[in-house]
Amino acid sequence: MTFKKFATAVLVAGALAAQAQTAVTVGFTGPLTGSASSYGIGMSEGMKMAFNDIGTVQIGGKPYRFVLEALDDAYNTQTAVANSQRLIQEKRIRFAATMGGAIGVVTEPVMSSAKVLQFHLGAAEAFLGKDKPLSLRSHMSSLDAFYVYWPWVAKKYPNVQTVALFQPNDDTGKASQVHEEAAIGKTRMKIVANERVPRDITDFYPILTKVLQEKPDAISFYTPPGQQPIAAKQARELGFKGLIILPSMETGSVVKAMGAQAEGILNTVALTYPITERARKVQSQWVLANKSAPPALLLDGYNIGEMLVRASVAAGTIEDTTAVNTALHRLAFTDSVFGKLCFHEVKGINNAMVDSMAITTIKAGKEELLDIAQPPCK
Amino acid sequence: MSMIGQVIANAVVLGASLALLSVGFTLAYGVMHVVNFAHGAIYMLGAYGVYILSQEMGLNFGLGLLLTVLIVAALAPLLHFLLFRRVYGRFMDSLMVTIGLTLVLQGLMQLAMGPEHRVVRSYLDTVLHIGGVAFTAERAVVVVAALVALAGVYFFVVHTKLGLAIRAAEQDAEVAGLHGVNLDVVSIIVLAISFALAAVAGAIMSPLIFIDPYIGEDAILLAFAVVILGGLGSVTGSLLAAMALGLTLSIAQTYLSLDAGRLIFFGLVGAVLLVRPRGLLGRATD
Repeated sequence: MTFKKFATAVLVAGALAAQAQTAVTVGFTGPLTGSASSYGIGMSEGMKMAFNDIGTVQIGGKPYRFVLEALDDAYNTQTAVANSQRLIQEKRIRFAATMGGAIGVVTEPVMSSAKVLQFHLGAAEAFLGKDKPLSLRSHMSSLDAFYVYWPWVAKKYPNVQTVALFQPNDDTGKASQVHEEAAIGKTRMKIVANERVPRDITDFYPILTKVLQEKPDAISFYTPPGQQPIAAKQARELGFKGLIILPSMETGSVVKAMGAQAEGILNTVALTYPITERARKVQSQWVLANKSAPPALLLDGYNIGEMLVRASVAAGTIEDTTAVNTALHRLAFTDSVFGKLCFHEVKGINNAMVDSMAITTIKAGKEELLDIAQPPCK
Repeated sequence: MSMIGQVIANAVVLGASLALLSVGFTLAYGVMHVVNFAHGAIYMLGAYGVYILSQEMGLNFGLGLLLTVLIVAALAPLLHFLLFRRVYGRFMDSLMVTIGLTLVLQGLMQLAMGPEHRVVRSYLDTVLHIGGVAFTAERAVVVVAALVALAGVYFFVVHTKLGLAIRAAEQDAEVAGLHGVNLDVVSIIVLAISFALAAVAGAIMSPLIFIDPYIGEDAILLAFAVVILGGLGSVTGSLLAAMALGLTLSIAQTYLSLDAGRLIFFGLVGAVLLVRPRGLLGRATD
């Protein structure tokens, strides 16, 4: 279903919505507070925006309106499990989204046992598998992105021979580390340091003091958005003059923290950069309503909301999550906010979404597009 | 870069920030026998105060810092009469009340500023490279502020009449009261000094970290460890413990890992307490 056809269906449904509409509650657990809160807030707000924009839809001849019930887990796995149980028992959810690899891993068994269709946003792989057909990865994860952007870095920056890597010290970081090593291993570059750091630390001086002894040409901080500007700033303070890569960075925070030192920093997974006209419109709508810059993952959340509603409409059900999942995989998403997207195979099942990806840099304090990498859709 | 030199420089900054944070905490305990767990939330108020005044309202960082410290210290009389006065000398009660106060302050800040992290713009860009050791001006300010604040507290407590009253109250509040020391005034002053030190710590650390309503949780955990190791109520003990733990944390985090640093930090505190339960310079209590 193309977006135009879908929009027409929505308009028709809106006209028919004189009769009472039923709310379909979609659950969300993610960090709405803490160092990763900008991700959780962006994702949940994006989903809400999509549901509001779509409005009432006809499913199986009845009018429905999707609404989001978002609960904060502050990136705490125990809280996330409790949130999932609460959403299932109290809200009777059939669909859910989570933010964070570690969160996806612990909530998947709870949600799968209740046959909830899940959209997990995180780099971990443990929530994917043949025995978990209703568990999806709903974004171009770092695990897939590594294989796209490291060869790109190797080609565009011939002087970068050695790299130092920083990852979070949890499931997400563990999975990322394996794939990042594999992706870099396929290039001419050599990893000279590979560190896992707690998500809440703000003093990178000790670990950077050690890492800089290895004289890396580039450092990649694949750490939460709150940590990235601090880590990059501290690397520069300690005299590091090489390439700094901040995947998924928030340009505004980085520029604010680093000033002129932010020049040339590379964002290899530019989540907020609008690569389609629809993405630009969604972001403008956010700016107009909130008088602030669009948060990271706003587009990812919007995309999940849109995919879910389209698949439910196509499947003609909001109860049979297997049917909705099948419809989701059959639909051709060529006009999403990310442009073309598809699901590809990870751990023997086609449940990992991949999409087009912007690679940007900071020039004169502004984010500037360097390239758009296309997804490996068949 | 000289690795050993850098490790020592890192340790000095870490030790200074821990000292600044823990001295106010231990001072309040020494005089009022209150375990003020809200000290971390006051630190958070300091960070947000300077953020709002200097970044959102456009004031000079120094002026923002001064105003923040004054505003936060001015909360002392209110909180003294509202909460602290009722739990003086009661360890568990004060712990529970101040944990509650922490939650209230965090909640209010989240309501006012939102849960997202914020970055405080650098106010001094200078980086000094001495003998291969990098030391930013902002980090130097942390060390200088710690030295000035501690010297100021020492001078105030040892060389002024009010300080004498504070020391008298610290030794025996009841007898001090009988000799005409106004315990309410002494407690308010001590609480104000303690709040001011926490606010200074939060404000000058803010450009070095990211801030959110929960930054005080980790800070109070470290400060509490420092105070326990130094001996509850001992300002000199806290200073010694802050420097020792700063060095331990810095060495372990550099040569081992960040997680190992924390493990050794708290392991060391536990080991010292096994041998000397009252801490390095703590007094025996009944």
